[in-house]
Amino acid sequence: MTTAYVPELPAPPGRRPAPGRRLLRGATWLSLRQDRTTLLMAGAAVVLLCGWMLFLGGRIQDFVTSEHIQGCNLLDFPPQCEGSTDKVTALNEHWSVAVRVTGWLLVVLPVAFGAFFAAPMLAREFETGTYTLAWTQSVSRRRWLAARLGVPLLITSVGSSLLAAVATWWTRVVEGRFDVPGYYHWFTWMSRMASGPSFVGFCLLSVALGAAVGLVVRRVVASIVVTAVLTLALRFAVDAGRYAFAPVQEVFAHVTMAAPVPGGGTGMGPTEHLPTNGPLDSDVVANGLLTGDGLRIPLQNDWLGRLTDGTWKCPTPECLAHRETITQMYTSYHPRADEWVMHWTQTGLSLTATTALVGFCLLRVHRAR
Amino acid sequence: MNRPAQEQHRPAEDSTALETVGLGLRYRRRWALRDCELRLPAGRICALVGPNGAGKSTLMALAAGLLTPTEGAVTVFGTGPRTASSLRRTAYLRQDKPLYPRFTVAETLRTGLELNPGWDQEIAERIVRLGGLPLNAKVGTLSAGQRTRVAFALVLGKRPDLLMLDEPLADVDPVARQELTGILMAEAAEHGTTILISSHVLAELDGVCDHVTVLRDGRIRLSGDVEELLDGHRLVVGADGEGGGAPEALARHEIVELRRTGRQATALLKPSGEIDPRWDVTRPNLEDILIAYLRTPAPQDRTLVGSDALTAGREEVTAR
Repeated sequence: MTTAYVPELPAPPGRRPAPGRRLLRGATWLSLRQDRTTLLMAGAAVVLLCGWMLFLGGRIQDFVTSEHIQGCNLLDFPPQCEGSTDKVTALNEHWSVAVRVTGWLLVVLPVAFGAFFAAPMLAREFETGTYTLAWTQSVSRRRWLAARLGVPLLITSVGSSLLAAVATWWTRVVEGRFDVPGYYHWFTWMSRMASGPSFVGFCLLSVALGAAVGLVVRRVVASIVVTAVLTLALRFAVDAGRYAFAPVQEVFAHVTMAAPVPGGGTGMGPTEHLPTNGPLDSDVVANGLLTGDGLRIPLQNDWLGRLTDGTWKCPTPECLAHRETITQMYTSYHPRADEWVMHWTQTGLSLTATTALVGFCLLRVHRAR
Repeated sequence: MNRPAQEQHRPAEDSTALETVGLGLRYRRRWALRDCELRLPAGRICALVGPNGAGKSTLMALAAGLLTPTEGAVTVFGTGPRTASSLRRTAYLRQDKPLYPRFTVAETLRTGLELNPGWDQEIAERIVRLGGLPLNAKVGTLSAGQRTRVAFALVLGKRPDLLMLDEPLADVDPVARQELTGILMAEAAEHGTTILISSHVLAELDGVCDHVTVLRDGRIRLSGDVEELLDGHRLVVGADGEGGGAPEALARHEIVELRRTGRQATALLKPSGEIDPRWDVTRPNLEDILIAYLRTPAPQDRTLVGSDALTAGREEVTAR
């Protein structure tokens, strides 16, 4: 055979192995190899959570469809739903714990990912000294860091996008149907924190923050703690800015305030909802009374006592003082249409912070000693 | 023997591999290295010797660009240690030999391949194979000596022009030590690599290095060509006349160290002119010279410390 007498060939002049089999190169390969285990575990968690949401959401969806309670839920119960009370409550009783747990998982996951993956990522390099190994190779520190941050950020954006897509669908399925206050409306905290593009932005922010803290603190345990605290703080800061680009809208209604009744509650009618008629499912910011000269007197809530003659009862001394001049009631709110403005605002804020943190890391690594 | 490779790789004669000017590094209030003036010619194998905490590792870390000097400057082949060219031309093996514990040996070598354009897989694999290390073994499961071998493969595979090794062979068995030293010397000879190697084992350095630098208390105590040092020093033994001070007969020579045992005195000195024939003169070996310099502080420090502190607890050692 031809192979029988082939003499041993001298080694090829090139001393590098064949580059053909190398899909990834340079610092990118190193970064991916270093984070491989953690990223695979995080990926598995994402897939499991997505599967669980699809399963549970599917079951809930099926129940709602087969029992014809699409328009009926715990918060919105129009007259045609009168006959399906037991079905609505049965659904709630059956799954509300699972829905609550899932919501918490979605809220906690990005924080945990930042604290337990991103923070140790660089901190461990400093703690074990392997950063010196990387910094004494032929690539610059910035290039190394770019790969060290870029790979996890890229993978995080893919994973969190998948999770966000499923979670957005899931949130629509469970919203208002369960005794989980975070999931009552599009603007309640679980709904707004664990769905939409802002979820992706927040995951990226958590990773960038964890990396920056790891780079500064350089100790694994300490950086986990600091990252967790700072992530929560930043999360709330981003959340507080969610309506930055969604101006408050207002509706008004004409009212006449009742004169104070000297003897007490005679002529008292029922407590009624304010007649401003804000759109359904909107995030109410404030309710109040408005005088003819523009003074606003806020109210505690949107319920007010009404007398039998149709006039409204003043709940506060301030109202009584301006009773004569009060002509209108107002409700300021964010309509449902603001949901996506809110999400994209949060996404933008998170991505801005992420960019700033990455820039900080790149500056810092250059000067670090 | 002709060595074309060496001629190709070796930078022009007299070029400088490593140079420090007034280099100093302060950790909070303590100076780890101070007023360091060092010039290491290219192509030399230089031993960096000094007691623990003398600043050896600090000097190497500064030259590798891992630390930023508090004062002064360090250059590697004429450029700063963090420039692209310096990063490419230097390799640094830290004393604790950090490696990624979850990587296999093969993956560790691939790290070298991915991060270094001049990577030499052949030499790296040869070093690993000589130690009988399986390429698929996880680095974290290896013994300290085996990890040293992998770290060695990583720095030699980089094909550096300046190789800095900090206590490289401390945890390697004698056979492997000899073998790795052999590979190191062969590589240095073939490629004209400049090597800066720190070690406590003085005997190990004899015959290996042609340049030596002694660090003590963060300052350079001695630096020079080994042959010149050997030629420039003499070990003398003779009868000791008086009690204190240096014997009159040796007064005109520069005494590095003087030890008295009973009526006999032994001194290492830098002779200037003829030595009194009553003294028994021998040529010292490198270890004699290094130990003498390691034991005695630099002259300028002696005046600062004061003679009381010097002689306390070490009566047999007297410096000029």
